[in-house]
Amino acid sequence: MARFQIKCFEDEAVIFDTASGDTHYLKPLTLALYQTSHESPVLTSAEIAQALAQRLSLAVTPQFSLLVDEALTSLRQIGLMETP
Amino acid sequence: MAAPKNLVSHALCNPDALHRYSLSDWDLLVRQARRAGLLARLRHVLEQHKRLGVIPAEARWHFDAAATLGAKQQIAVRWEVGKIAEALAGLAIPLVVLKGGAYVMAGLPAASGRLFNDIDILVPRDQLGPVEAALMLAGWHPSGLSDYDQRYYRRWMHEIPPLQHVKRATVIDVHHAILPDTARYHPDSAKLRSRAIPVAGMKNVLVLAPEDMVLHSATHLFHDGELPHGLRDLTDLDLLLRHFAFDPGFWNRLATRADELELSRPLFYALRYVRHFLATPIPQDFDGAMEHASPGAVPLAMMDALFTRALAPDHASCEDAFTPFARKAAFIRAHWLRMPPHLLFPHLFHKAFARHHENGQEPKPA
Amino acid sequence: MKLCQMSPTDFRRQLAGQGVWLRTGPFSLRVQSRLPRVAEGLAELYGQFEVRNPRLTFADFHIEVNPPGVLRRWFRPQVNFSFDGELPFKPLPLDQAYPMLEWGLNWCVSMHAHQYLIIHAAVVEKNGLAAILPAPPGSGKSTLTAGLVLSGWRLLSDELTLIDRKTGWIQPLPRPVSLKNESIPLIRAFSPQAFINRESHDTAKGTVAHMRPPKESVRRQHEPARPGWVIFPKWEAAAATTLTPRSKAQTFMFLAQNAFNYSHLGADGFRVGTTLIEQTECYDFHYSRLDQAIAAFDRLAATMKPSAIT
Repeated sequence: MARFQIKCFEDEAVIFDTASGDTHYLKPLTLALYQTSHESPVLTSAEIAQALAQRLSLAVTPQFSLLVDEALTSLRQIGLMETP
Repeated sequence: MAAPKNLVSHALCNPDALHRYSLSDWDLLVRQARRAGLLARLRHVLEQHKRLGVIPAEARWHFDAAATLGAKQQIAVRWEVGKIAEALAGLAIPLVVLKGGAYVMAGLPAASGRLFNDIDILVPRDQLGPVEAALMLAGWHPSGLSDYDQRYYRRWMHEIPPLQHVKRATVIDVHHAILPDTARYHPDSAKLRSRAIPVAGMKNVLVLAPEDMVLHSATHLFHDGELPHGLRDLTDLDLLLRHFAFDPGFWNRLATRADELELSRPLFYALRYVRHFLATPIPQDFDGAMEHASPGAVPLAMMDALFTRALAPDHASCEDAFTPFARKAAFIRAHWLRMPPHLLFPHLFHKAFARHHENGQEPKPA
Repeated sequence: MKLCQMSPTDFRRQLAGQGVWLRTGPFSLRVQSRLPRVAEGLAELYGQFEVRNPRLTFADFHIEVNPPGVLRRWFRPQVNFSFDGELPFKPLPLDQAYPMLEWGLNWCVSMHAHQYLIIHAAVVEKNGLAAILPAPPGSGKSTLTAGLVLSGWRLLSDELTLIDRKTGWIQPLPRPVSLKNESIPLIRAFSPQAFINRESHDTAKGTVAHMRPPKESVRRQHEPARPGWVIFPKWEAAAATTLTPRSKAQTFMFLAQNAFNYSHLGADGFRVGTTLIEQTECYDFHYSRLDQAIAAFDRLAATMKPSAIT
């Protein structure tokens, strides 16, 4: 069984970590970020933010970048993304 | 009162005979096994013998539900040991996992069908302070204990009290020796560490060598006061012995090591009672090698009277008129072995008094 | 044989002696009690459930509801709930003996029955689909549940929703419905034929009583039901009756946090829970009038639109 079991419900998702037994919720932005980075493993946060903005048809404003950073932190804390 | 019958031991020893059990036998077996913490283990034994089908349909879910819990707990133990290793990584000390945690980390049969409470670890004595600090930093705190109990641990037992994690609620018992300083025997921790075996895939995490694991299990059983899971601990020992016995040199090493660590007496008792309850196969020449550790006929008869009762499941159906006395006597004996008398009596008095005041929780109404 | 077919004297004598074997949904009990109010409660509320000779059978749960001992007999008498000789709870005042039996039985199930994912929710069924009603205390869940089952909905459970891990279907456990405080007179007025037993006062939840489960619900207690909806009810004075879709992911997280044994089931709890959410429609439900609430539920059942085919 893969370590992370993921179930998407439209634009949100829930995740089960089979190693720790923890269950997590991903809000739409965080899920979109995860999916984006999964499809194309880009390197920097800036590139991820760019790709995500494109996907969501949004502009890369400072506020957007902040939200992306928060989402990245969440994903790293959960263990879904590696900490660089 | 009906004659006491320990169906759990009988079932564990005779999985092939269970087709003769009536429904009311199964009713009693489930209740005894649950009380003894052995439902999952019994299921595991039946599965090993390809006898799961003998369980009547009505009773089956009890065994499966217990196995579900056991499986989940194994995962939780692995994760927790990983977290502990992470927390202590900066100290670069050998971390020896003991008891149930060790059975899981080493992938031993003794891990199967078992439920786990605390995780026990062994660290060097001079590192106790840094270890406690590192664990507290990572979220484990002494909790749920009265001030009296905390002092008991620190001052008399020279141990850190159990540490509970703030989020996960898991508990770690940190030891520097497998017996407290105040106990009668002092098996050398450095000797234990020198033979400890690394856990595959984990840095700095080890388990005791097979003989030492067996000796620890034996000693713990007869030096700890809490025996409600005595039979369960005996099944651990039984599974350890059966597994390690595949190595032909094991019994010799066990006898030698027992002498070296001065633990022959507790080993003698442990083997005597594991054979009594679970028919564990022990080679005859090993009995010969252990004879010197026997206490003599009279004390032995007394110990038999105590422990054949105190180690049975703590269920009314397994008791006779002497059982309550036997349990108390075993409790007192274990503490006597761990504590000098001038500490023992105030301690026992306090425990007896405190027990009456913490009992149960409020039922949650709908 | 059903409990109501035993003579009252035989029943009381057996209950006070060796105990009575009773089947409730998937669980069998052996109950023993010397207390008349426990005998009375059981006789009034469990008449349609099966009884058997306790000697020769297997019982899932062995329980006793009795006073603690001799000492407190006259001054503030108490009652204990015992599970196979152990006391999981502190004693309660004797007046609460019958509710204590019900709470104790819920405890037995939620602590042990890990063949199910057990959600803290009421669950009712109509037209082949079940509506799961999780709700924090004070949301009016028990009033709504009682109203629904008195209006043609099948009672599956008022407290413990049992999701079979293997099939994903809901296992009924149609035991008496617990009612609190204002619910009691409200339901009495709503349906004078409904039987509600003697009230217990000053419990942690106020005044408590239990309503006899509908005969038909008990008759069908061994028929599992397919989950159709997860609906969070909330009673609010003067609120219009509204049904609003809610986030499935967040509904799942709520269930995971509020199920009794989600964390005991590991990855399988996640699988069963997400499958449940996937196959159901999830709503918030606000109401102030019971009759309108029931009508809204009836409309929902009439559409009968399961979102997945099993």
